[in-house]
Amino acid sequence: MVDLILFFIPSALIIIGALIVVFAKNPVHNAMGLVMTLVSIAIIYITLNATFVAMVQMLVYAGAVMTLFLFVIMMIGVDKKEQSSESIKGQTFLVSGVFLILISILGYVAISSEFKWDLWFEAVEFAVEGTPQLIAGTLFTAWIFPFEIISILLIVATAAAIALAYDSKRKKNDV
Amino acid sequence: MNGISEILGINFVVIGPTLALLFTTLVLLFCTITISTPVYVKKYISFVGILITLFTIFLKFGLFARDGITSYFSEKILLDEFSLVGNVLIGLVLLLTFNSFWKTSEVIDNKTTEALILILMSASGFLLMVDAENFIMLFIGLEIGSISLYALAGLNRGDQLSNEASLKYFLLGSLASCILIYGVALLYVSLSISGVYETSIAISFIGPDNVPLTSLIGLIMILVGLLFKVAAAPFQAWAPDVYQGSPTGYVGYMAAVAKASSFIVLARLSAISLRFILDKFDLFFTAIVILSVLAGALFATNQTDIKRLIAYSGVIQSGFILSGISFGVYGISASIFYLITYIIQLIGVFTVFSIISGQLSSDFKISNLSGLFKENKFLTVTFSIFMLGIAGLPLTSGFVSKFILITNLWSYEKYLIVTVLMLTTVAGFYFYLRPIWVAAIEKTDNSIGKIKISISDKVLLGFMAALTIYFGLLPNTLVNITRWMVENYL
Repeated sequence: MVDLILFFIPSALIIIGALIVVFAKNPVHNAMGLVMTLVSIAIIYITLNATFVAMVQMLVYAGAVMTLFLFVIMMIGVDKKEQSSESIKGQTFLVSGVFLILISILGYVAISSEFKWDLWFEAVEFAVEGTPQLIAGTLFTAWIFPFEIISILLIVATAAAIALAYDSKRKKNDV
Repeated sequence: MNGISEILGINFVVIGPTLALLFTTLVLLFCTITISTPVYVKKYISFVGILITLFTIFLKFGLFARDGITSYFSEKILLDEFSLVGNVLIGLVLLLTFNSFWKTSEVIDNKTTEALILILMSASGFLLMVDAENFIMLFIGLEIGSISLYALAGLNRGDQLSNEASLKYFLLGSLASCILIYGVALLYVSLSISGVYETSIAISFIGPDNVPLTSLIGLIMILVGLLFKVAAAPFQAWAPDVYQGSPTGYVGYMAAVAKASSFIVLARLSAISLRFILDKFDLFFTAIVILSVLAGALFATNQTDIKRLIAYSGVIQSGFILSGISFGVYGISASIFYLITYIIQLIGVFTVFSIISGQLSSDFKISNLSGLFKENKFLTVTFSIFMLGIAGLPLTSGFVSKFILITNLWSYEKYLIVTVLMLTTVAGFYFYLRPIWVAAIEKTDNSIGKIKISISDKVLLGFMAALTIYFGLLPNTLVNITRWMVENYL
């Protein structure tokens, strides 16, 4: 029973969030809908015993990426007029074509398997509780060197971004 | 504690060059953000850093002489002949281009330290890349190197072309990195491996005929990611724009270091990972070689900008070097010979350009060279030597490298490729000799005035020109080095 509740409530939230992303008029509401979807997916990951993926999902997607989205939205301006005309010629036609193809593939799979597929996987007993220990075990022994080197990658990216952005900022201040 | 580090294979000598460069950059970073340091102090710091790097590379030879081919850091870092030659090449590139990139950094406004940091960091990344045994390690090294290069290309913010070059390089380069890491993922999915030696072991275990299609596609994607960095056709589209737009003083370094490290890694892949299934990639490599050579020659003929011309000639040279790498061990030794001589000529050509056209300018037409010979004899002579070397005229190292490569290919019975390469070499004389004609022989009224060359530039140019001639007359030393490099893999 608890399993079912833990599955259906986040699933409903995922779908509602996705609908908000598509249909909400205000960009900030769209972004918040996306946050809802991502957090609910993280809950489903936890129920699947993938704790590490859930944490990464929360930190990276719901945290960092969404902050970036909101930042861009704020920078462009929330109250900008919605663009309703096609920016690419034949956009609607292409999208509906792709959608039709997807639907027909799904239909083909459903019909060819004669509607007899098994959605309910058997319960698996996990030997180790949670994945963080496992990941840490390899990450901090065999993969310690790449792990440390990633920090240099971050320094390089920061230095590169500063080197490129520095000058323009100074000029703006002068004016 | 000692036991653990021994089990994990932690050894600081083997990553010594990287550590030395990183330490130098951290000192520079510290100097920028805390105490105001005079510019010349930064120059000495970075130069001393490069010297220390060369010394630590020398230490690696000692480690290699004691232990032979060994992997460190739980099979992440490999010490073998390829990594040693790659280290030496990158160290040499740093040393030979130091003068031109220092002068460029000096005139670039307010960004001297940033430029130095980016250059040293990218060198450390490429050092890791040539040392990498694991493909993830290779990817991280490649990214550290490339991200710095993307920023270096666009460091001259006032220039439209420089911005365009940076953006183009960044977008296409990240696409290539995506392809590479996707290939690594496919290889891992299909065979549960992600190492250079693991690949060959797995392939010999399951038999060359039973290699799954997924891992073949993965290997091809890894190769494509690396071929992008060396600008082999059909992945060459970024090269001319990046060479043209970037600050002239940096282009020599950018082109040379990316080419050197990528080709060393390609050679190692071909010698170790793919050695049992090299014939499966025959068609792929043949297509890339012929396409690069033909596309490069075709586009190079009608360029008016000389930096674009050198970029397309780089596409041709990539085809040449790849042709040796892809067909076996003797070919690899010939290719490495070619690579070393080509890199010296490339750096020489770009040093001359940065002296003539100023350090930052992105615009450099062939006609800008006219009348160079009247008052700048030394520059014209060295420039002609480098151009003739790239073209492959006898008495220069370019001829010897082409000769060794083509005789090796002939013994592998690759007659189609040999024919195409010979024809392109002949066709190449047209566009390689045209700048020399414009600079030295063509009559003109408005010739360039006397350009002041610093003594260090003179010494460097003289040294590189002398090397070009020396390897053209007495190639024995270098041939022996490249033979030594591959003799364990015969």
